Amino acid sequence: MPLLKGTLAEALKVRGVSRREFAKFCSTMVATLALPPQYLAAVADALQRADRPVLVWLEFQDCAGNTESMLRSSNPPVADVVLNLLSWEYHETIMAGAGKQAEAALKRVVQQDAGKYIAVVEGAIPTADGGVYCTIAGRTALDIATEVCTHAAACIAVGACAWDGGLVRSNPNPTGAVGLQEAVPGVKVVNLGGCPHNVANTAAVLVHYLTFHEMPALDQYNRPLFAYGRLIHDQCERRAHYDAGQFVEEWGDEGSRKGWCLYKMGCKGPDATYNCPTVRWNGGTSWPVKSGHGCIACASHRFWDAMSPFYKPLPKVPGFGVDVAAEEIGWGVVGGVAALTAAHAVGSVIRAKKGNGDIQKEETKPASPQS
Amino acid sequence: MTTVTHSIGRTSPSEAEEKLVRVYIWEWPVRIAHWVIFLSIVVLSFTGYYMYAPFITSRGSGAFLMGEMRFIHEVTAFVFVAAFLLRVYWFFKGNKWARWRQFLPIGRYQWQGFIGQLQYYLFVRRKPEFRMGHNPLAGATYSMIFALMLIEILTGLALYNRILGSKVLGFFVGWLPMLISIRYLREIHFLIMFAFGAFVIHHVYSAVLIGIEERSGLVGGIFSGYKFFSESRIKEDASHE
Amino acid sequence: MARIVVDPVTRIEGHLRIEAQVEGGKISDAWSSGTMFRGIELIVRNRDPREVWLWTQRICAVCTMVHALASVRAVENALGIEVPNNARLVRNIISASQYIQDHVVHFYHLHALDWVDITGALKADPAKTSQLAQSLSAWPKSSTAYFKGVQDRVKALVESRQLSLFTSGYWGHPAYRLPPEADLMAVAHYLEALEFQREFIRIHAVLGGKNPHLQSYLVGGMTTSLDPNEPQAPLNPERLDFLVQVAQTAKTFVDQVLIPDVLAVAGFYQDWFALGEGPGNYLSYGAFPQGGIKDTARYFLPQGIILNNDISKVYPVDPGKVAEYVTRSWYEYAGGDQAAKPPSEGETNPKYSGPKPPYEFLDVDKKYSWLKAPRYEDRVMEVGPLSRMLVAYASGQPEVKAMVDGVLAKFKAPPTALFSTLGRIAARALETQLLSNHIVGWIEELRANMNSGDLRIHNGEKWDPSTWPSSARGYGLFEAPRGSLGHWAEIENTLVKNYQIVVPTTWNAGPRDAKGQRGPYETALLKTPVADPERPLEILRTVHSFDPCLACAVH
Ligand code: HEM
Ligand code: HEM
Ligand code: NFV
Ligand code: SF4
Ligand code: SF4
Ligand code: F3S
Ligand SMILES: [Mg+2]
Repeated sequence: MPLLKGTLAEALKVRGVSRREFAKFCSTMVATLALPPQYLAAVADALQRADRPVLVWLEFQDCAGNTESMLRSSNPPVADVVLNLLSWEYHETIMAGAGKQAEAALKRVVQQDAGKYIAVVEGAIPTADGGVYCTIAGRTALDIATEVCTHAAACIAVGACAWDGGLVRSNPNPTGAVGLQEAVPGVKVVNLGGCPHNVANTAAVLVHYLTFHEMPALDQYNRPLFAYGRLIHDQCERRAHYDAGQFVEEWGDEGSRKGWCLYKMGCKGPDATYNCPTVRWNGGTSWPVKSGHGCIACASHRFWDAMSPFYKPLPKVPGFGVDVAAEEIGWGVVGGVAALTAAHAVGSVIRAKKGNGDIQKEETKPASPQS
Repeated sequence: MTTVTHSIGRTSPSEAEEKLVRVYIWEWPVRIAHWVIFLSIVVLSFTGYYMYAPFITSRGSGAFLMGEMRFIHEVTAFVFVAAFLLRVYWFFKGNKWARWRQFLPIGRYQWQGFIGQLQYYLFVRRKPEFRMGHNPLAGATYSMIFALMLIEILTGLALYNRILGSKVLGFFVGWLPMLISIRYLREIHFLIMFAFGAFVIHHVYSAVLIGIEERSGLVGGIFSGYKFFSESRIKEDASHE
Repeated sequence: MARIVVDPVTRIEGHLRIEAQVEGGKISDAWSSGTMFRGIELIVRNRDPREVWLWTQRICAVCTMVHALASVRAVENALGIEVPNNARLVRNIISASQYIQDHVVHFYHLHALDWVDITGALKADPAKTSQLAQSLSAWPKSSTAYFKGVQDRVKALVESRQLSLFTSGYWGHPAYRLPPEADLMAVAHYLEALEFQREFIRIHAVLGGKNPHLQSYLVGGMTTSLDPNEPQAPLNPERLDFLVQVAQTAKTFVDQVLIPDVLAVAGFYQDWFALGEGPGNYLSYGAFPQGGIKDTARYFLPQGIILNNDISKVYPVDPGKVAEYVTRSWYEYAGGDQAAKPPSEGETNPKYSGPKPPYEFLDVDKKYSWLKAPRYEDRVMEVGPLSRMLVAYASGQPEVKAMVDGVLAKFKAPPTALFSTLGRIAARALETQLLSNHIVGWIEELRANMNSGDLRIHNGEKWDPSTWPSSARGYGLFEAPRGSLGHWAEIENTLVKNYQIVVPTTWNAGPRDAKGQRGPYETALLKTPVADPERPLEILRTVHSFDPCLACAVH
């Protein structure tokens, strides 16, 4: 029995989701996906007719942040509706069954629903030393990911770790951790970066998939453009202060109380794309910059190494150690050329002085090889 | 061609007696492009550096310092692009000294000039290479600088289009952020600024130095368009058409 | 004699494996193993110590923020930085809300299904359920119609034959003993708690920008500047009002739902007051400073140690006496694996020596876990809410004393009943109530400071690394929801040289040490009855009573 009998509308009613809540959910999703409003009807219609596909959620080298993001989101009843949209058959952190029974649940999905279920992966996958750094029921993460993801209809990597290895993969990557796409190269993965992912986006991706039977438009990292297509800096509520040249200069100063720009404290908003400033977190309550700390670009590729140190403005040049900013390299080059030039000038003056004596000699040679 | 006597700098005994001929080398588009490019790079570097490190801050309300800097940067950027395009056009339309061939050390004559000039700078040789336009080593340096200008323009336009979101501009530079993330685009854009800075130091120095060596009025040439040469040199240059 | 393996242990954070030997229907020996390692102690080396909190916070998102706090405290301790009073308060408010949220989720979403049979709810009479609920509490969602609605939802779920998260539970297991009405009530509250916690955690969104993984800590204070007159200040009167309003919902929910539910469930399972006893030694670093961090005497939750189940004495804590063994863990120490190492000199050299995956059983006679085995003066210590409540009780904290005595009186049980599986659950619930009683007061204290003109939120004297000595060492302690947490940092030339983390679940779920002493899980599982080795529900009950977090434990 691959898909649920009965439609979503029934399922939702059964779970106490009212019409109004459902309508509100649909319009939030349309807005998050940046679809034109005329798609509202299509989304609502498709969701009501959709069978409930099975979803399995795998956790490997993770912190459960993406699971928690899912549980703690208070967007309209996102978590609810998402739980209702899909039949969540495996998810270690919250599922009822354990041990053998849990293993059996996963096995059943892979066998009976092959080619039809959605696999969500959270956490990095270790590849060093035969994968011994993460095993579940005696099997390596790589083994499980390969089996489950190659049989899935769609794979979604949630959070930085599952996308590109995240924190676990950052220097010196003690466990040879990689993201899902690299671990299981054959499968097509939609990456939802972030540390953790913002569940509002993940819900929207699922809704898009259920409505149009395909994933939304993706960028070069296979991240949906609607969520990862715009700079934080260009959507930030503190942008006016940036433009005005009003910056927080020290933690806790007057500027920090007035909500001025955090650029000088290391905010990575100018380098990072994500929709935090508009979608925000925990039911639209807030986002990092609003609480007074710079963005650390947690939805950017390999951000732990690429964007740190976090309290210095970029650019810095990777591979030059923690402290080398591009600026230092730049001034070094300028200074070096200036010094060489000065040295050359001295040399030229000496040559000129000496030169007057051997002009005769010089002139016996041709001025250029041709003449 | 007007001829005048001219005797600045050190002269070699044989050439000292020769009449110097005034030759029109740098046509107006070259000169205009050169100086517009120079001035806009100064402005772009100042405003650009401010965007990186806002060293002047405003505490009052109503201030719009960063916005003004960005505005100046963006307007100047388009002036810069225009001058750049003018110069590129002239690679194909200009006189022989302005043409693109002058910038690539291809062919024996060019290549020998390149090596010879290098030897001169390394104090291996006594005299610089003689060329009526710029010498092949300088030419190679300029082509690198033009390439950097192009990269600066592309990265700059890509950064600009993150905000503008124009489809037309997107056609030209939309692929860039897909290839290189914004963080590295910024970094490249930023680092090239220093490359220009380093270049100018070397460039002005060598212009003055070679000007003295050649007594060709080289520095004046980029203002007036004219340089001064002995007739034997003009003949030699012509023999390498 | 049968060897039972539970892997994955679910409804916990992380990857835990339990192997147990069952003889005559009871567990005769047990091994607890963590099966995932990331190496975060190695990853934070050579980084700017001011930002290490951002990295260590990602050890775990279930107890998000606790590793951020311990980390900034470790660096502050190394550099001699005192944080302003307002920063102390904001940290306390964040921590208290973390306790409340974490404990509520643990009881309803991670633990309840060990005691509540969801399918039992189908047989319940909604009217009787309503009577039951109303006899226990004034919580308004208690009408017959309401419970009927919930029951219909469960029915539809079961009939759909797609039970979603509830597939593969041990439904119908003989160890389930709640009457159907209590099952139905608990199922209703499972759903309500899901909603409660996600609304409540918006406190963290205001104070930290987002949850999980708050982003407002700083070495030296917090980023949440406060100002009574600035609409854009991270904290201003309007946002404090919001905090108070959300915090009040916690008190109502805890008083009217959590506490009555815990007491009701406990009433049907009183034999579990005699099962699941740990090593008998309890550690608490103390939490919620009411003044300077060094003034441990004024911590809201006191610091102390209880030994051998003797609550007539509380011993002082010396963090220098903490040390970790790797004798039975997949690591190597430079000087050999027999001696323990204090975290200030700690090493993390992973060296797997277990069976090659896929495997059926671990080599439990050799090394068998990614957890190290922390000991205090070579003693096995239990940490967590039970330890904290016992230390507070034994230290004579009046509020805790009254609460604990109240519960014991209700069950006519002596204090020794607390040394058990059910004792852990009761202690966790009481602690939740204790904090929900105080969180609003702390927010008001912050408001009073703000209104009196004290706006200091960060101490920037030592922000610039050029002010630091060329080398420094420090540690940061905290009581995380699951127990005693310590971060040890060594800083050299402005970068992290060595970093060691000793975590609550490492204490509780750790393996044996050089002397062969079992860890607390392994001890607590001894003598646990297992009615059906194919469905070892009882193992889950005791293990879950500790609230395991394996991502924390191994890091
Ligand atoms: C020689 C030419 C140029 C120089 C030296 C220069 C320099 C700079 C510098 C130093 C920055 C600050 C970078 C940072 O903070 O990371 C900057 C930013 C910028 N430049 Fe240029 N620039 C040049 C040409 C251009 C051009 C041709 C454009 C095209 C429109 C452009 C557009 C921009 C934009 C949009 C930014 C802002 C990027 C942001 O928002 O972070 N620049 N430039
Ligand atoms: C960013 C600044 C500058 C750039 C990118 C630049 C670039 C160039 C280029 C590409 C040429 C070759 C002419 C052509 O074919 O277009 C040239 C020639 C020249 N430039 Fe500049 N220039 C800069 C600044 C200056 C300055 C400040 C001076 C001041 C003395 C200067 C003096 C000259 C002279 C004298 C020549 C003629 C060289 C010859 O005759 O061989 N330039 N420059
Ligand atoms: N053990 C543990 Fe934690 C807690 N509470 C950390 O310190 O859960 Ni993730
Ligand atoms: S991406 Fe971040 S939040 Fe998600 S598992 Fe990794 S560390 Fe945790
Ligand atoms: S706070 Fe950050 S994202 Fe916002 S305007 Fe300033 S630099 Fe940009
Ligand atoms: S740190 Fe992450 S949560 Fe948003 S504001 Fe920056 S992308
Ligand atoms: Mg450790």
